Amino acid sequence: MTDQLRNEEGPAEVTQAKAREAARQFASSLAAAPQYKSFDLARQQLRQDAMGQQAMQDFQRQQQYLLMMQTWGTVSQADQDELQRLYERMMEIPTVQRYVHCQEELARMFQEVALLIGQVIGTDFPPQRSGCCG
Amino acid sequence: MLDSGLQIAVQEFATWLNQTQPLVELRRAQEQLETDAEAQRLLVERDKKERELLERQRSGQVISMAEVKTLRQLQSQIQNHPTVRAYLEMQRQLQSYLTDLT
Repeated sequence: MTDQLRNEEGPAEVTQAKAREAARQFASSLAAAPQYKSFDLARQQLRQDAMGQQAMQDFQRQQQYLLMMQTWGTVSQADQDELQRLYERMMEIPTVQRYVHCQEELARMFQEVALLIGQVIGTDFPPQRSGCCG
Repeated sequence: MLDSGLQIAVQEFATWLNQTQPLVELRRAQEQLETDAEAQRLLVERDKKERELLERQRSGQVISMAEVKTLRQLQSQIQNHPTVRAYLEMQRQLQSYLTDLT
């Protein structure tokens, strides 16, 4: 993109076409990022690990149960201990460990990306993140 | 830390996005929301009530249905406020524009 093009008061279509082109480039840069590649590999490995998937599902089920119980203010110590036990069991499995780690790295990268976009456009990005009134 | 290729692509995208009509309109709606005293009063009141209930919930206290109703009423007032509605509509339009774009 040249400065001349950037500064032109062109029609909305030109801006739209340029934004689309930039979005495409942005998407392929995201897909090429090491964080995304590592996450994709970890996800594939987890898909082939039945034990890892089961451990994650058990943990997530207990986590959801606790969240529901929290709404009513009735979470017991035993419920919390069970969640901790399931987390530790899940994290002993190498494929899960890798998946969780890569997911965290990817989330960090997305946060940086969102922050950078937000700095340029002067508002929260993505737009629904600024949940002031929803 | 983002690698340089990604950083350039992000900046390029954000720069073009910045000039699009939906974003210009969202910023305008955001400015109106920030300067609307009544809308701001409702938002502050809602946030305060929400924080208070969350803190009590965390400390194991039971929240009464009347308190939940008060919070819901505040939320409903906010969502029906014209300036807030205009802002949310612009947010929705930008979201839809981004979906079309990608």
